[in-house]
Amino acid sequence: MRHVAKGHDGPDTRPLSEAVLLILVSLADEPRHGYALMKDIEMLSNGRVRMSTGTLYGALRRLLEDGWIERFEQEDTSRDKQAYRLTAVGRRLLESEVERMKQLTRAASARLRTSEV
Amino acid sequence: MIVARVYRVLLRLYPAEHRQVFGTEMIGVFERAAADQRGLVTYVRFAVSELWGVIRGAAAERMHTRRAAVPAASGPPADLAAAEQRVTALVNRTIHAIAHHDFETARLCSREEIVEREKLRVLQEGYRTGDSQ
Repeated sequence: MRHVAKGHDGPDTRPLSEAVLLILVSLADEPRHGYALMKDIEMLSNGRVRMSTGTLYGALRRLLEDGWIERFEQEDTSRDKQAYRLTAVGRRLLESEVERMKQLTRAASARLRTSEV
Repeated sequence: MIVARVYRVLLRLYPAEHRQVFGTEMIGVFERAAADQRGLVTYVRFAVSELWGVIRGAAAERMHTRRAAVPAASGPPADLAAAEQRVTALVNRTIHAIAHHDFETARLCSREEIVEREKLRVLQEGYRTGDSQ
């Protein structure tokens, strides 16, 4: 898949790129439209990542194409009609990625503790 | 505003298909984000990042369109190739999930694969009908 970094153990075991991960995390609790996504990603990353519209919509297009997110029309808003939400596959893949990151942080913490002793 | 005008002009660098789907939305998001910027330095930084982002984004989308168009000339049509890719990706995900004992993901991917396979079948059917006419 294109939105993952290069790895040695096949395309499906590679970690997600930061842009993709941030978009998926942002959509994890509720559907969001483009502007809300941009603001939420900035907040999620403590202001470190301000995604340009070029980057955002490139990533959204790829995620839509791969079926990780879907686009739908929100009925209750006049300004931002098009919104995005996670698909069941997208949610499950995000959960797998979070689990992978947890395992990695646990291993890193354990090794750091060992090296302090 | 000049930057907004330049932004709209640069959007024309995107492939027509991308513009049709996302163009209006991108302009809307850009305008709202531009209105949020306070102070000249912040605004200039925002403008540079946005304009450069559009140039890079358009280049990436053009490359993607070109890559997708290659099989259309020598192999199956682009939509058929994309559908085949989706099925292959889901099969790979299922295998990977099973290998890692993540059976819930495997089940989910397998279910998605059935849906995608059906879409692929309908597409193939459509092309076959088109050929015979």
